[in-house]
Amino acid sequence: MYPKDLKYDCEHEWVKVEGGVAIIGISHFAQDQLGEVVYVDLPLAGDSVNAGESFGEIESVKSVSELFSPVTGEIVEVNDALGDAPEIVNEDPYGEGWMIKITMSDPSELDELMAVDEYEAFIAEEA
Amino acid sequence: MKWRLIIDGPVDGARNMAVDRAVLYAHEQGEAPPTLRLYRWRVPTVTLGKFQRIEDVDTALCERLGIDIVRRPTGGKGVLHDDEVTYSVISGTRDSLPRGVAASYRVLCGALVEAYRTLGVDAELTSRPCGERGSGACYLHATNADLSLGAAKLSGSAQVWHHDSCLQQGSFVRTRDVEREARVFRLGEAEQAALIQRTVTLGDVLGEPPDDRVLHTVVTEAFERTLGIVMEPGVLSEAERVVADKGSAMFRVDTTTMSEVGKERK
Repeated sequence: MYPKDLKYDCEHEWVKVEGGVAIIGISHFAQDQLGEVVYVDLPLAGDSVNAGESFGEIESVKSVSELFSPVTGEIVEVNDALGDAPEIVNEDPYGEGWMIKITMSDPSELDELMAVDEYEAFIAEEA
Repeated sequence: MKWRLIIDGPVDGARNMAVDRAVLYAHEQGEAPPTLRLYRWRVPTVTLGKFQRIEDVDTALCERLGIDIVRRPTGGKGVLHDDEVTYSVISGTRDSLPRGVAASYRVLCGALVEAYRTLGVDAELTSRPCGERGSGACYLHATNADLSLGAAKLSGSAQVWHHDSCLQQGSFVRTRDVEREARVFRLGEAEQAALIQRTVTLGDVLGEPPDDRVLHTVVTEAFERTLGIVMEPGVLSEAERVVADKGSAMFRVDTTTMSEVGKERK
């Protein structure tokens, strides 16, 4: 449900670091709380984003929510497949449902994020 | 808990959306109380969902019929607002609103169900989504966010969340001109027939639909009973008014140039 090799933020995004690039998506808890995702509005590659700021929006069951970046940096890749098939976010939130890849300008921001056990305690409290 | 009650008369469509957004922003910043706003429209107005394609609407027809087009900050598909009382609720997790989409709809729509039942309409939250999901007309698709009477859709709602604050908008429809709505949303014969069969208004059920004053009272008291709150009549703060003044333009859709400041995507 919550992979151990990921870091999580309090807005329910996850981060996986591969070779200095942060891959970002939303957690199983988030997709479950949203319900059936029908649209994902993502930025363009080349855009910059700051930790804690919105990088896009997601719509489910006529409800629009913001997506927040856990880290600061330049967006180097966007998951365009979500444009045609936003339901992938529900079906595979940690795999094909990833949203953006960022080259981090400050990798120490990862230290502020939650490990899986902390995140599980956080969502238990929120639920 | 005390909530603010704002009752507005007929207002320009873009202004209506800008006011709702201004209250949401103020609530997000901890500067506004949870708020129920009841309002109408200066002229018949189509509202498009935040990411909806403008091509779903016959803009030339709207121009000829004097129908305004604006974009909502909330999700979902197109709605033609005319003989109705529209509501907006701005609340959030600090007011004990659950954060999940389905859970928050259940809480807020619970108050709507109570209002309809007070009026003698046996509404319930739609348990099984049905209808034409791809249609540009909101009322052709019922979701877990909507109220139904039997198999017919009675009332639609939509949301936007900013951090832990939520704006939910929806309508209490008195009567509906189905033929006009079908033309506005470019519906074919089958879809128009579905709109007739699968939607119902207060007028359809009650014969003589309640007037504004009755609806305001019933809806306000239903929120108070259901949520255990007290409504206090109020107005926008000066800061909210300034934000609303600045925000109106971003919701307006210019049908002559097909341009808008807001986005159109899906």
